[in-house]
Amino acid sequence: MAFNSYSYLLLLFFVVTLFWALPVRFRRWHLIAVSLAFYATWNLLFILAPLVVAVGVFVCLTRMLAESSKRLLWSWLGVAYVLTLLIFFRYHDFLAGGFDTLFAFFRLYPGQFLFVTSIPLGISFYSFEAISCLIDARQKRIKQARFSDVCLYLMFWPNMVSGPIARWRELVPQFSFNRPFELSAFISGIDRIVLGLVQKNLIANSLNEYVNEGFFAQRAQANTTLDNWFLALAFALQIYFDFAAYSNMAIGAAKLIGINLPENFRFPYHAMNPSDFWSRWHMTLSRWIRDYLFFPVNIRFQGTPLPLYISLVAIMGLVGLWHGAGLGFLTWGIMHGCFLVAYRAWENLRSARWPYLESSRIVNLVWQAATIIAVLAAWVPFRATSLHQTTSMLRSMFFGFNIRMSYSSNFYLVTLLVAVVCGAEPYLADTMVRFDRLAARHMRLSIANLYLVRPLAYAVGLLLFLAFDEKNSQFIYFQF
Amino acid sequence: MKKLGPVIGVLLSTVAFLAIMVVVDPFDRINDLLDISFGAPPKWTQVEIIYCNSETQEVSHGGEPVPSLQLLARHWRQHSEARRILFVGNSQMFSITLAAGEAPPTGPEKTYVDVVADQLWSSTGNYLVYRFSPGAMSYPEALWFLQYMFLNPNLRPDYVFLQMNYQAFYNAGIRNGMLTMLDEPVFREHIERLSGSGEPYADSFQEALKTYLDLKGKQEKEAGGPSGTRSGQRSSNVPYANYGYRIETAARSLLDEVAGFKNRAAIKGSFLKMLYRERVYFFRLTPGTPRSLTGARLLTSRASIEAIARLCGNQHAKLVLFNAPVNPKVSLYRITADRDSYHCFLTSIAAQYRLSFYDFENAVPSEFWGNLLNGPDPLHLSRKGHQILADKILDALQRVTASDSLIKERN
Repeated sequence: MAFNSYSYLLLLFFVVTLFWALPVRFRRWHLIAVSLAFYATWNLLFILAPLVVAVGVFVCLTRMLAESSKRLLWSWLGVAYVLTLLIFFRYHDFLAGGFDTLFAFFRLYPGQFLFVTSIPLGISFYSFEAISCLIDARQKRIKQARFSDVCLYLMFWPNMVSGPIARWRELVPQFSFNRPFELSAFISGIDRIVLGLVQKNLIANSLNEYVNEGFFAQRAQANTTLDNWFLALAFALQIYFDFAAYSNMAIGAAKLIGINLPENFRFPYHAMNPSDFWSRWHMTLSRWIRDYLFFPVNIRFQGTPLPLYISLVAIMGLVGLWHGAGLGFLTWGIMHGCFLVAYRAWENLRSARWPYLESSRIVNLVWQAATIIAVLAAWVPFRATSLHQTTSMLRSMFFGFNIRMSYSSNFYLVTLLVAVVCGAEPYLADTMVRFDRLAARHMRLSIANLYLVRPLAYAVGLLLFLAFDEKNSQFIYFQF
Repeated sequence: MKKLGPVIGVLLSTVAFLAIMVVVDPFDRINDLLDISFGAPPKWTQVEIIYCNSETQEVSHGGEPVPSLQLLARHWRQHSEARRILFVGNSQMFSITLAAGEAPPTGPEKTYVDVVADQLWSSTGNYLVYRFSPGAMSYPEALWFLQYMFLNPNLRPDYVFLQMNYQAFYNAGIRNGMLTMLDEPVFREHIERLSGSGEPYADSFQEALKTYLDLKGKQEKEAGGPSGTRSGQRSSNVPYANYGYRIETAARSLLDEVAGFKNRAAIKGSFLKMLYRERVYFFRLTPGTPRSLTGARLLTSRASIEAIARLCGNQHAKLVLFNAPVNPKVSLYRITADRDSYHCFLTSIAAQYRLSFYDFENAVPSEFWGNLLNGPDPLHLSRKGHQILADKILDALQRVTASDSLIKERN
């Protein structure tokens, strides 16, 4: 049941109504039941995976809280347990292939039988949440843990399938559900849901067909330089609006029941440099990587550049592999690692030799342009069907000068239009915030905002969502 | 309760506004406003009621060709002695844009293929004409369609008139409506083979097969049957299966009962037309804006046409290429080299495969073309324009079928 399906929206209405109608003590169980039912709509067996993770994490947490001296042991056992499950489910195709190759000499293909299983949706996301709470417990940031807390933390339906990856300390304290109903939170929730529906159905889906065609294995060879840049841009916009739509709808659904989820995006294509990009793109994943991988490594090498740079590239490679076992994802991660290293090296050089350049607008502008170009180029291996296609497209993008158009004008125009929308996003958001502030100060404007402006905006958004609805459209990040 | 009032108020206002918009279709109103502001010709100049006959036309325009083709097979079987002529082309074959001075339509209007069909049948009684003309047709679609025709003995044409149009070379892919043709196992096997051929059009066929299997799998899930994946394939993580999908299907059929819900497609159409108008009116980017042909789609289109030539040759059907007329007020080519390379391709493929080729690019004078929005329509002929082209096609037919004594009786 996808967030942009009618059944989900209808059910959300009933779930939220019932949530606020129920006494506080029943709300937790209501949400656990809803979350399990939501997950089971894909496959009844899927619910076993998070339950197995939850049981293991709960056992480790209770042991860590009970035996302070064995915190380290139980945290590592817990992490190993979660990683084993993640690797088994997430990379079984890859493992099955490996097993088959290994036994091919004996004409045995055990992978075909051992790993015939679906990947439980969202396992990459809730596994990272599980690891996060185990590490937090080891660092004494968790004082108590109930099984229902662990279950709801890992299986909370809005962020279970594709994030945002929340932390224990952000989410679990809100599970007391004793916050009173707030109209502003409710309105903000609807804002996010309607925005997400428009971003997904109108914007991301409109680019889907063009991107699919452009990245066809045979045709991509004939793409011109201009085609390839536009394809990289179209995919960059598609994946951003698709994932941002999901995150907005997740945050919005949680807001409707008074829960705040962390933000996942902050206008990433407005980033000033590669480091800034990762503080705006998939923010909950990047802070996870930063806190649980990068900081420990940084402390270990005490800021020595070379080992730090190597580890940075390796960590970003792992981020790529988090999306799936594929050379394209790995290349994407390594490319981002290299961009981050380049920026860090420049920053070190600049602060040592040219400190006055810090405020230089030209230098900042060059970095901003270089960042967007680098980010676009990195999307090519992420989306391409093979490394061969990646190299061919990147070669054409950087060393080719054919600026003719191969596709229909609509492809270029729609991509440009969406790019303009993406560019205007921060200004539109800012205007909305200013209008809300103004409305809050004037009674009449506030009423007009509540009963006229917002419903009208919602109606336009819903009309576009309905018009561009496709029964089978799915979110890109469902596969990760 | 105090806080519930505003929530109900917001929700009710939203539903009310939405209902009004569904009924009024605001994008359509904006379109009307834009048309008036930018001086578009009256709506009746785009003829809406076109002659329709399932014995001579694939009436769904690629939307659902199988039922049409079943009727055709029956019709052609009844006239087994007649020669079969198939016309394949884009919307030029089923659209009319009236030129200045032409009277508003009073009944269903006929296009040039209809005129040719009528004249051949009335004068000889031995030539059956059929038209396949999906709007914005791509050449892989033409190849796909012809493969299907030649696999069924009751649908084999004797002559294929394939329209060449510079704009059609920009198009690619197989529309979803044509995927139901894959229900025919022999055809599916054939397409599977072609999709692995490594030819430039193989990608389109692969994508079409993938979409077909996906849709089929979902239909089977809805019906409670086995999954669409074939045995031996590993299960995927595509999240459409099971309960959620069934609940969604039930929700949709429930919503289908709500008045206005089915208007969604029309509203989408109006919205897209609005974007199109903005593109034309504000940026002067029309379908007739000159451009060069290059890259993937050109490669795919050329390979598809060559495959059609080989297919017709193997099936002993006579393939005739004709370059579609273009409004003389419009130049589709960005530079002269574009025109030269396009014409060079047409003549070279005709020579290579020994095909008859007719160039009608300048066959219809400018006064027989109408206007599309606020500029000349590059593709769709007027009433008189269709008559002129019909005469040219009949002449060509006479030459092509010169050895056939029956055609000579026309004159």
